[in-house]
Amino acid sequence: MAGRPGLDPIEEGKSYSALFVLMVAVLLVTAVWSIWDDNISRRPWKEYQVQWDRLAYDKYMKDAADEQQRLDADPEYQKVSKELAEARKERDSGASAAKLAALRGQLTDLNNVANDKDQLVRFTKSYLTERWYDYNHAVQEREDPGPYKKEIDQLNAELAQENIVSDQAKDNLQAVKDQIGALNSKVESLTDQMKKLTAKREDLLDKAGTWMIPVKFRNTVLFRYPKIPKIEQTAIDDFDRNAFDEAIARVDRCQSCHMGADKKGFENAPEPFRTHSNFEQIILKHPPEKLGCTPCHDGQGPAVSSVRVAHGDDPDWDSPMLRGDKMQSRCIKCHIDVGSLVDAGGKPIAANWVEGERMFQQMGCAGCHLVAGYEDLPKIGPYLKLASAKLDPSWTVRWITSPDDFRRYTRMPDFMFSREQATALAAFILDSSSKNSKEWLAAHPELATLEADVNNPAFVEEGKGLFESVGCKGCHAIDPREHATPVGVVSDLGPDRAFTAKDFAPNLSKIAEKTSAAWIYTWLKNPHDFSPHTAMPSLRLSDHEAEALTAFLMTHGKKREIAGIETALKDPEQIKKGAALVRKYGCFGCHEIEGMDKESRTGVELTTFGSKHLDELFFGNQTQIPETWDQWTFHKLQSPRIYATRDVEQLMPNFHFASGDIKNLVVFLAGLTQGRVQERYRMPGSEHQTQIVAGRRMVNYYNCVGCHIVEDRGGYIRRFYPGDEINFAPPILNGEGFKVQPEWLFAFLQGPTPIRPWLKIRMPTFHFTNGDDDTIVNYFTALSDVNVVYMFIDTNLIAPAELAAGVKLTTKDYFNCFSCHQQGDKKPEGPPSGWAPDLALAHQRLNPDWITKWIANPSALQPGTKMPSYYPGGPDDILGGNQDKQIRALVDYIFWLGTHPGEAIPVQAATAPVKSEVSKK
Amino acid sequence: MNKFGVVLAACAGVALSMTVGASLASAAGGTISGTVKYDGTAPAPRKVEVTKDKDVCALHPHFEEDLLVGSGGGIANAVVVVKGAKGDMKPGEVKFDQKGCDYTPHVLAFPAGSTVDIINSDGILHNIHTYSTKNAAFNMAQPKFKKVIQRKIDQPEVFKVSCDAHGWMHAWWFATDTPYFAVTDDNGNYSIAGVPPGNYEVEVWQEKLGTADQKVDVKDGATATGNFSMKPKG
Repeated sequence: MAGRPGLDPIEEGKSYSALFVLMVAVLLVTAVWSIWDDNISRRPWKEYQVQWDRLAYDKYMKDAADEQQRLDADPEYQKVSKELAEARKERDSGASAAKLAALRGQLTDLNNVANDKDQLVRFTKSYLTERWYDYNHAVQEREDPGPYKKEIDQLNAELAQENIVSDQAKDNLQAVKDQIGALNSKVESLTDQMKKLTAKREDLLDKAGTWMIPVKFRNTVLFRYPKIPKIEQTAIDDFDRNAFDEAIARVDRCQSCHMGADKKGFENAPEPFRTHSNFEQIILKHPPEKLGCTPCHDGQGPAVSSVRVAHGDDPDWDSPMLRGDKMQSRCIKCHIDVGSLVDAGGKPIAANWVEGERMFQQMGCAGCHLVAGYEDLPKIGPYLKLASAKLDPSWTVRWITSPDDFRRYTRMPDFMFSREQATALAAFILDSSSKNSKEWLAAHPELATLEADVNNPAFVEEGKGLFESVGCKGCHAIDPREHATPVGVVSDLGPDRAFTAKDFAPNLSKIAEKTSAAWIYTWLKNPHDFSPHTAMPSLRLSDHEAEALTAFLMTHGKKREIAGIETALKDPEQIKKGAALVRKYGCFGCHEIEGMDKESRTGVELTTFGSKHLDELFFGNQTQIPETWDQWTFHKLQSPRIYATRDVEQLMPNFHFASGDIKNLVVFLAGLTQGRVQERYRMPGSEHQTQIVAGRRMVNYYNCVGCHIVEDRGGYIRRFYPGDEINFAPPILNGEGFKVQPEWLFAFLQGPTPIRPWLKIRMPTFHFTNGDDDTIVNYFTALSDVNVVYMFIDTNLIAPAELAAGVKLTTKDYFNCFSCHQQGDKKPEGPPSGWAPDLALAHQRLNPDWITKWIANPSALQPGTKMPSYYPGGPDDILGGNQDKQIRALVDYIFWLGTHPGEAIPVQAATAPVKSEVSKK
Repeated sequence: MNKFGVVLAACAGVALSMTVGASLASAAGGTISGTVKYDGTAPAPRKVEVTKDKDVCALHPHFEEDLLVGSGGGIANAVVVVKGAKGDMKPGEVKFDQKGCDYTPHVLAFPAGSTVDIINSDGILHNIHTYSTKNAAFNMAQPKFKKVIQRKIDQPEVFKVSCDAHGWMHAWWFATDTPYFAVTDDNGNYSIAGVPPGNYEVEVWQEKLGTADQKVDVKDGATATGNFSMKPKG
């Protein structure tokens, strides 16, 4: 090689082809890999979409085939298709076909002619426009427009002529078209009918075609290919706010795989294609195209690279997808009244959350843990500012050491105190309350000498009778194995562990061990005199009744003194130590304790507990517990000090919760999350909803459900009324807000007056404070969605004839109302189990609209009631046999009765001759 | 359309002839008869105190009817049902009377689909309160002016009927799922005729004693015996 100067001949002579080939190969592999990686390996959703396309196609095709089968059996379809075939045949054969062919042949020619003629018209119009321009131009240029005017006149004449010819051609064309139309009309109208009949099938076929796209040749489908996969995403504007309170959009791509979630009909399809559960309530009311998925489900909305990542099941992702019952924890983010949310079948949607929330309130969790929205719950434990006037010192020490030993199902948790700690605590509690107690006892000198007559069996028996009849059993059990109102889930775990819940009120089987006869007596007579905020009501017991009940209760349990305890409890060192323990363990979270009013909660604030990161949860040495929020929380509730280590002390007491209750609490706690959903996405809350939520707390706090069924829950005392005795049980309060007048209910709660004097059970007098009674009245009216405060009938405006009709309807020959309903002091015949309230009391108590509905069909308002329904149509001889008028007359008469006390029934009504109408059958 | 009508008529015709055929066949079947006896001491009559509307209700003495044992030890008002025996149900109209504040009959058995004529012979207010679950329960006032109420009972079910105005009035309605049933007479005897031949489970029901059953072989033209003995419950 005679190389150029400066070039190295050896270098020039080298071959790089091998390297070049290698590099090309690497480039090729990289290119292939990048395409594969970009389109296949990180796009698993594409595979899902193709699967979905086939699945949806198969389903819609099958539905279309089923629809076709239905059509084949439908006589109308048979008729129309037969007629259509006949009409087509008739049109396309014989003279008709020949005529049609001839007409179609003419049609082309005539169409051409008409177009030609029309074109001539248009051209002439164009010339005219041109000449007019010339004319105007000439005028403006001050030239002679005369020649143009002449041309214009000539063109106008031509146009008129051409218009005539063109119209004629159009008419000819239309005439032929009309003839063709007439020949076609029958086929066309039948085709329209056919389209209507087959609309559903065509819709299904169209749907099938959107997923498997057909490739057609002359109306025949050659093959189909799946729809090209595409990310399905919903962007929700301004759902979240960042740290600077700026709106950030949320993007959910879940439906890229969950293709069937928002479509009905895929209920049995495999995941991820299944129709969303509870479709009517969840999907129809929360359209995913507006609200996306993650606002309720959590998970990583925009991620589509793998199932695990998309579901947020990654240690680095803060909000893993919610599953199972835990889903219920999200409702509260947008709904005020979660307890009223029900599915299409009327079943609560968030039952576990509701139970968990109730548990949280009733177990006193908010006493130690601050949670926004639950700051003002009343303290659930007994009042201890007068403790030394009530408690037996030895019992107090034993109780603090291990509450479960005394009452297996108490709500008081186990702090696992040593005997020494318990003694110190008892010393402080009794000492701190001694000054108050002395003053209180000085104000009740009669108690010093009060002794229970426990040795008089008849008296004790009388007390027992009272205990079983006046209503104690709505809240308290007396047998150690019995339970009144449960707090928590009552699950049947076999004979030994049948009860896993807590008792709402103390089991009284060993009450005499705890306290004195004097205290029981005064407590029964007036609970609020001793404890200003107690939920325990007064049953308006007479002195004698209270004494008998006291005697009965004092036969349950006996004192067991710990030797030398009195001295130990007086030790100032112990008292000081006890005060420190009260402060450390936060006893004042549930109890009012003298000198501890200003202490603040000892537990951690839980307002955003559900959003806690894993690194904020201390697992201690418990490596066997999987590191998830759920597991940490479950084990914390199951054994609260499990995460304690040598250096980290834990103080939370053990509530001995059953696992069902823990699960519910976990659901509730999961709902305590950070961040607020923007106003526009929340369900606008009504006043009624707020009232319902507040009222439910009251109903739980005062345990109305111990005796009454409210919102289909409770009525625990009813099991003590077997068989026909159920008529002596407290009334069911479903629908109470519609039934009674709010004003009456308010007065009744303030001071109950008997409606059914023959009942032994008493509506207690509750000592409502802070407008709790208002809250309860509003709760019932809100539950029944009643807005009118008071309903009234002006009895002076009732026509005499109507009143007479009302009176007559109540008589023996008609509905004989007073066969069961009490009339003032006059009791009905027969045993009390068949008696019903005095109708004269109804005007103050009952809503006339309710009475109207009640008379017509009582079972619809209160299933199982003894009150029979009105005989449909009523008697023919009163008010023209018009049932509505008759019932109105009855309601009017009932109101007249109450507003005219002591007045005689109008004479003409009472003695009106009764024509007995015997019906035909 | 015409053709369709013809087909319909033809079908109806075939169905009709089939039912006629079936009823003819069943008429030629066998008979089951027997006695339901009480295995225990017959309870003494327990008088019911009439506490209300005495002018109508106290005209005759009332006794508890939940277990009536005849002199031979036979139990009255027990219902015997041939289970699984197929045949024309022939639902009809049955009468249920309130007379002297008693229900007559105390146990009313009928094929499901029948209509009960509830008669108020007393001319005072009664109410009919049914405790059914499969059939819609009702509680209807039947005042004097309404002598007869009709109620169709479509589903096979046994349920209690009572009057809340007169606490002692109780009765039972037994809607059967077969046309082959009988209610025992005062001496506990019953007889069910026209049962298609076959081996059946025959069950007896009594409101207080519950049920008992046995297999009975029914042959054409013959009478099979089905005697029962019922013990007090518990």
